[in-house]
Amino acid sequence: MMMKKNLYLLFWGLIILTSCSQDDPLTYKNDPAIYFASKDVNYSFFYAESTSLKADVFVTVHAMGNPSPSDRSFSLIQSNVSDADAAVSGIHFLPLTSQDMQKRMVMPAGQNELKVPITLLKDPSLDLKIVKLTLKVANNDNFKVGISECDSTNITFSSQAIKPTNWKDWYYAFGASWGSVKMKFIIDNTGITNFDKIPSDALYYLLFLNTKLQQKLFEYNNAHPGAPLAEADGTLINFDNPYINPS
Amino acid sequence: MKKLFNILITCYTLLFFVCGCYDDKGNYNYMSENELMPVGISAIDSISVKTQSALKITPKLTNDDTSRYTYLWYTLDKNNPYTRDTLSTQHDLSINCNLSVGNYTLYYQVKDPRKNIYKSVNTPLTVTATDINTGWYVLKAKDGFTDVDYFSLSGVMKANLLTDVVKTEKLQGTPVSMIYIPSNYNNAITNPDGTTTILYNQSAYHIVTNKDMVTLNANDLTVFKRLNDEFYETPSNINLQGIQQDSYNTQYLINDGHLHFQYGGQGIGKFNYQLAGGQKVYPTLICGSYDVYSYDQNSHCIYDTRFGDGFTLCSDENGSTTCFSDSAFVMLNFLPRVDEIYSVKCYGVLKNGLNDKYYIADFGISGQSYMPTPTFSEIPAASGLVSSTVMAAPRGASVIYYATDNKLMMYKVAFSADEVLKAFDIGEKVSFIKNMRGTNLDGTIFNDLVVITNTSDGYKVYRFPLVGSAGEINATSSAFMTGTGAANFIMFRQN
Repeated sequence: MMMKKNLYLLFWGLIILTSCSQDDPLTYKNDPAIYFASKDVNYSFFYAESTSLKADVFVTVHAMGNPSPSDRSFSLIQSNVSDADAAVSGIHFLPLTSQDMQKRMVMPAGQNELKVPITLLKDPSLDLKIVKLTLKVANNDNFKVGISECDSTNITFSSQAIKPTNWKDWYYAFGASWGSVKMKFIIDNTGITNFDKIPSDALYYLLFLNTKLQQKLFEYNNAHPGAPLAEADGTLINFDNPYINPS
Repeated sequence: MKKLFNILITCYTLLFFVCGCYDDKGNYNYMSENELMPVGISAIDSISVKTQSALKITPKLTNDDTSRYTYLWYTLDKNNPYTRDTLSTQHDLSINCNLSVGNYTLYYQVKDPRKNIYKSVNTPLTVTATDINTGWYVLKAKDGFTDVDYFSLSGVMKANLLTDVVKTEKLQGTPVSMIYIPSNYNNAITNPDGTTTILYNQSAYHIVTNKDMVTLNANDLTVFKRLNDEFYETPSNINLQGIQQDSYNTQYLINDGHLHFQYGGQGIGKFNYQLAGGQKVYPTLICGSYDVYSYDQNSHCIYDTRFGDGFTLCSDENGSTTCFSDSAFVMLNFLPRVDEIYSVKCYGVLKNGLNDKYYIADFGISGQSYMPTPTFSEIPAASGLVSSTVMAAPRGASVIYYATDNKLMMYKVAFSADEVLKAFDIGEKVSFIKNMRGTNLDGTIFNDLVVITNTSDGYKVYRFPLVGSAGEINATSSAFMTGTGAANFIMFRQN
């Protein structure tokens, strides 16, 4: 019985001793790798205040591992070339293989993050469609592909209006319906180009916008007898007073 | 056992029925309110008082008994209704008003402490920083600008308010109109740190000329807004023609035939964009209690335009729209007569473009946009009414007052006949006529025809009491207000 008790003590003593041994600290030992550290991008030349035929959008590339004392080039490729809505290199965006773009794909010495400008081209075909450029990081001599969930990013762009994600917040000003012709009419008559955020405490400002747009639409339709303002599919534009008197 | 249980249940049920038929002969009696507390309290008119000045009110009581009742005067702040301030426990109120500038409700309570019951009345109390409040406001043109002369109920005059009291930039253009908004006006102010504070439930004056506008804080006569702050987007062409408000304190401003509005008590006190449509709105609106009607000079139709909901065409009993263009009529003057809760009555002075004859349209509008077909009567060609530009209709009688040079005339609609009411001195030209009602300083009610005349020396304001119900006036009064400049509008502020 005594023997059995001693064996127990010996067993637990060994367990405790082994658990106290010092472990080496974890260190990054992999090869340098890169991944995208930015969200997908939506862009429309429709809202651009300049009339330029090209525009830069930015994607952020992050390098894993220690910064290098020298510049290191990396590689980005288009991975959706075969898709129906794929942007066409040289027509819709500056080719990634071009000299300009190759110069941009260099992680500077001492840095591990870089915002890379991607130049979009305002081709006339964008008046009629929305295209997508899917960028993917690729292996090269300096970097391998880093986090697989972040190895690609999408840039969706067009010359058409794109419905603001917070359209319902503008309901009292613009009503519920949305279309690209209506959007252009709103921009032309209110001067608003950034719809990301409505002013705080803005109900009566929104009602002012609604009244103004209704009057401007009335004037437009009067000036174009038989051809009232409509979307491309013939849907008549309206700013039907959505207002419910709050008093 | 079960049988016994059923018997008990039956007994209980019968007991309820028997109790339900019992005739209650309790020892209580019903008493009328007057039997219980016979005192009666007359309504107290609304009051304006300058802060730190005497506030005296002698209430009118019936069946009063000072040995039986206790008395209490207190206020509730309109912006903070939970703040109660006791002013006095005396029968009559006689205090130095040390309330802050603002709007209050004044309560007068008579209590029977033995029965612990009371009766009370209340009235709006406005405490101002200025003693320019209740009284008459005359709009006048002088030296190429517009200014306001004030006359208190006791007759004290303060001339040139904008120049000498408010000391704001001169108001451009000639006078058009002025309104007093007793409450529910909001004003946004920008703080030094860039944040915005909205002042709610303010009292204000809108003073309008054909080219300019100013909004004043009625409690201290500071400037709330000048023209460029009055709109969300200032119209490119300023040609202000009229301003009115409805019973909800919604304000309607007419600029160059377009109707702009702002809701009372809501928003930041700015006028909206012009109401959508191709209407050219006549400068006078008909404001009923629930609806506001406008006359469109393009289509010659009358529209319901309440709350800025848009232009809703009024229609007759058959559902057909009633537009004066149907008979080639052109509206020369649109005269409000009676504004009741559900209906308004108006006269229209019209010219028929087909035969060059003149007519009066007598019509009313009720139930929002229901307008029965008007009745028409021809105006004799010899009547000065057809060429007059200054006219008004009283609330009660079927007449139209108008002016021809120095004469105040009355056109009797039912008889198609003119009558000279008053011939002013040669050179005295009538510029304004209106039937106005209110309460004098001594508490008496007035129902006067107020007339403004101008001469090269200045203006005169006459008050002619209406006599009887046929529109006749007592025209013997001499001018009770005079001043320099050329006046063409007067506003009476009761409170």
